[in-house]
Amino acid sequence: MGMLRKAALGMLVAILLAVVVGWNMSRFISSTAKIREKDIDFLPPPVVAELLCLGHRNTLAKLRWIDSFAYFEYQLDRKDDNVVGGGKAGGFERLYDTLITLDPHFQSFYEHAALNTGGLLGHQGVALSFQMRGISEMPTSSQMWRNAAAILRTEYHWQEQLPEAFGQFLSTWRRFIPEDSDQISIWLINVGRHFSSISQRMSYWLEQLHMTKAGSPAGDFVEGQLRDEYAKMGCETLQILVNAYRIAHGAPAPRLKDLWLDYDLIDPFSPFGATIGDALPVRLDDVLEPRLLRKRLTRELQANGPIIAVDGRLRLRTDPFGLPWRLVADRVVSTGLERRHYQAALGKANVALLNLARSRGSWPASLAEARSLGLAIPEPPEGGSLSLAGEALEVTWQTQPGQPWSLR
Amino acid sequence: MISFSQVSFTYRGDWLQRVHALSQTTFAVPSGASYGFLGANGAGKSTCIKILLGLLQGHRGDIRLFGKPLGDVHLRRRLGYLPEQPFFYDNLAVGEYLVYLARLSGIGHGELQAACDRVCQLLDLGDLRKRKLRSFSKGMRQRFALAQAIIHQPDLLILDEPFSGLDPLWRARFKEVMDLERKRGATLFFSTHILSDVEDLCDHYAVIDHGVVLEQGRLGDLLGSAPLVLVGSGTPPDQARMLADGTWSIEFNDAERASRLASLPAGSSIVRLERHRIALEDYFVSRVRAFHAAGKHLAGASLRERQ
Amino acid sequence: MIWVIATATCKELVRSRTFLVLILIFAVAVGLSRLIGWISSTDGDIVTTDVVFSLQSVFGVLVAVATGTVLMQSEIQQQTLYTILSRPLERWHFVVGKYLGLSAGLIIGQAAMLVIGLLYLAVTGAAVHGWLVLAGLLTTVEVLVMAAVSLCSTMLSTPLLAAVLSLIIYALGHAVHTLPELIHHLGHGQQLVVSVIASLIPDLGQFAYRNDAVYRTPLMPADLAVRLAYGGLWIALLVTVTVAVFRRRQL
Repeated sequence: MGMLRKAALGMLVAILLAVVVGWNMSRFISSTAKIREKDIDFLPPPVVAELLCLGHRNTLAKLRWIDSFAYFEYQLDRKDDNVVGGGKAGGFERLYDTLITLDPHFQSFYEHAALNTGGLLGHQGVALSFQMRGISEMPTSSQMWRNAAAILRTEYHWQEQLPEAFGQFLSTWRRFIPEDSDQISIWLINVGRHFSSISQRMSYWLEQLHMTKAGSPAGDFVEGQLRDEYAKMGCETLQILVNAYRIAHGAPAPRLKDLWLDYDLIDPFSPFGATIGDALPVRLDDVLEPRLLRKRLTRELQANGPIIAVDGRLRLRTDPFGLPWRLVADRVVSTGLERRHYQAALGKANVALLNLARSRGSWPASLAEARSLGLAIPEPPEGGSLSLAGEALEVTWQTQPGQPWSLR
Repeated sequence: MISFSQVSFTYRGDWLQRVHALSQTTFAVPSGASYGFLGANGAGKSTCIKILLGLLQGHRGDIRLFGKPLGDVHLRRRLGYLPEQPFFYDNLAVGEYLVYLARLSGIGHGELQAACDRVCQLLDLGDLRKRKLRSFSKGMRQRFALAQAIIHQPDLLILDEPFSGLDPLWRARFKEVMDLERKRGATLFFSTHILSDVEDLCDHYAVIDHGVVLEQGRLGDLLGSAPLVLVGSGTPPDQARMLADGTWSIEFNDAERASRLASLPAGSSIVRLERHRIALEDYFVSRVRAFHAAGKHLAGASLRERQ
Repeated sequence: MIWVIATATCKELVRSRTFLVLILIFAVAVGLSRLIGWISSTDGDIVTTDVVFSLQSVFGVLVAVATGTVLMQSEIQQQTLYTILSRPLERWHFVVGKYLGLSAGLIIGQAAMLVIGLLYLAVTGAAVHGWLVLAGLLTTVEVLVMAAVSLCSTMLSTPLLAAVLSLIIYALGHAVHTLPELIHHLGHGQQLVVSVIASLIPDLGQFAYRNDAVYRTPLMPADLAVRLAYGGLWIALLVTVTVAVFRRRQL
């Protein structure tokens, strides 16, 4: 009887435990990413935050930082940093000001601050101020200098507009970190290069790519930005060839693959490349970012360009999103980039739709009704069809993307 | 060995109230005595002991320990104490604890082992040396408490309710150990309200109530002062009390003995002459009640005055 | 006498369930700290190191407060000190011995926590270097100061209130480190009052070197000596106050 009672009690405990654990697990299994609009609403001023940390500044700053990732995801859609927190400074600016005050030696805070305020929201001045603060805290950190240089060059065009100041900045960097001389030299060599703004934006995102994890929200975001830049660069590369074809043949190119019939595949670093004419680009490295070429050359030529070499012949690959390049009225279009732009516009339209529904107290029943109520809904590009599914505008594409470029 | 002379002590009660625990308390414990300190709960026994041990400070009057004024901590080297509630650290083993307290009593490294062996043998703690005290019953803790009190062979052993929680076998063993301590030359000072223990073990006593020592002296004198009882048959004398079996009895004290025996009527015969046995408990109760009845309890109560 | 009491106190402490359970919970918490490192998008190792060292401090202070506040009160309430103080020793011997024993126990606990933490960091691939050991040392001093605070406050109050008071002093002790930056908007008189009050509380920020050690920020020997001396001074003051109160205490 005693044994039976013991066994029954054990079973009861096991059953109750299983139920409780199952219950808890179900919360994880069925969980979806939740956007918390108020997650950084509560942010005391940095000095007060420091006072409240009870000597655990680093730990609490990092826990707060991790907690703010949800806000980052929220901003991917909204890109309106004043929605949350409001005030003069945006949510990110206040967040990272606090975090950096608490833990001024943690590099990722500066990088994420620049990524979010500059890369995501386009507040380059704020991004640059965070990087400069990072340099003052950690003058021997190459990463801080590199990021600041990227912003100065990409966003403020110092190499073109203030070459002396830019050179002075690089010299200061070299003085603080002599070991970075080689790297700084590359920067100096790149001054005045063609496609500098794209290539420098790209180099900025490449830096960010190395600092994020594949599959993480930040990693996905950076990959998206990088694909955008590669797509823009691919368009420019192909556009140069389109223009060159028109000049050479007196007529627009009928197909993209006809563009490089006149070119030889050459070693971009050979000093004796073949020439076709002075007016036209003669070497692929003239139209591609040389630093990327150098990086990728060991594996395959132009790994991050639209043209690749296969079996000794030049071929056109997909755009960075796994979708085709298109030639529309003599202009090169990246289908993937086009769709990205449309999705961004649709995001804004959805926000407007939400506001409209809130003010009316009901959702429009159809697209036509939404438009009749004054909602500006952009038309989808080729291959897309738009619908109002419940409470959101959604686009579906006829062509599904293939394998996107591998960036890592 | 111990002398309290006109000792008064007050402590702080609730808020500003001051409670007078001892009032002009005077008693003396002779060297080599076994002294029973009797009193009801709250009478002032523990206060006296705590003052003696230096746990309470700020008394008035003169207290002497081993003939010297209190205050010299080295006097305590000659003193052993068994507390009323023997609680000890939970996580020390018996052996470790004994060594710890023995070293505090000033026993040198060389003598530690022998001292521990001696008390462990006396109190049957040998098998328990490695056991932690948290697993001990009340009686076992009491054994340990006596062991730690006698480990340094003190000249004065202060025992506060030493038999509480003990079964009859261990009460007997405790009494044997105390006999041994006395034979060694130690003075025993019992604080108790169990009067039979005092009858068994003590040769001196004091009764304290409301901080006032009502009576003190030799226990033998007290017991010797009991009246004689004569039981006889035949013709009863005046004031005789008739008993159920046809005999009679009369009571008289030692001083009247000769005259009362001489004045027995003719025709009477003595069956037996014996001394009346005083029950100490009855005596204690009657003394305290008499003290109260005399209004002294009012005086005692008035000691608890508000400042 | 002092060493005899200290040894027994230390043994009693390190064998107590509270102490052992808190170290066990610390080990579990350290094991789980990697989860936070995983959640972090980058620099998971640094995040884990921060969490481990914060845990060492928090658990150390918890042990110090939990044991420090109960230490003297349980002696008094359970009357275990009667058999000790009835022996030939002064009361200050008892207090100093108790504190030293408590400190020895806490140092053992802190050393165990540091070893567990560093081993865990090494196993998970995080950087382990000498500055972290130094951070652990200063955290230990912080814990010893808190033990002295607990011991002192328990002389003035009940264990529960003393624990609350100790934790408040822990919070204020870290707050006063930042306070000079916050009081500039106050008037001169107010600044003086706040400064005087804050000066009566140990500045525990002196011992939070863990926040810098993670980044290998060097701590100069002179700076270390100053911080150790500061901790030592506070401990001496608090233990002396405890002795002064305990000497007059009716037991």
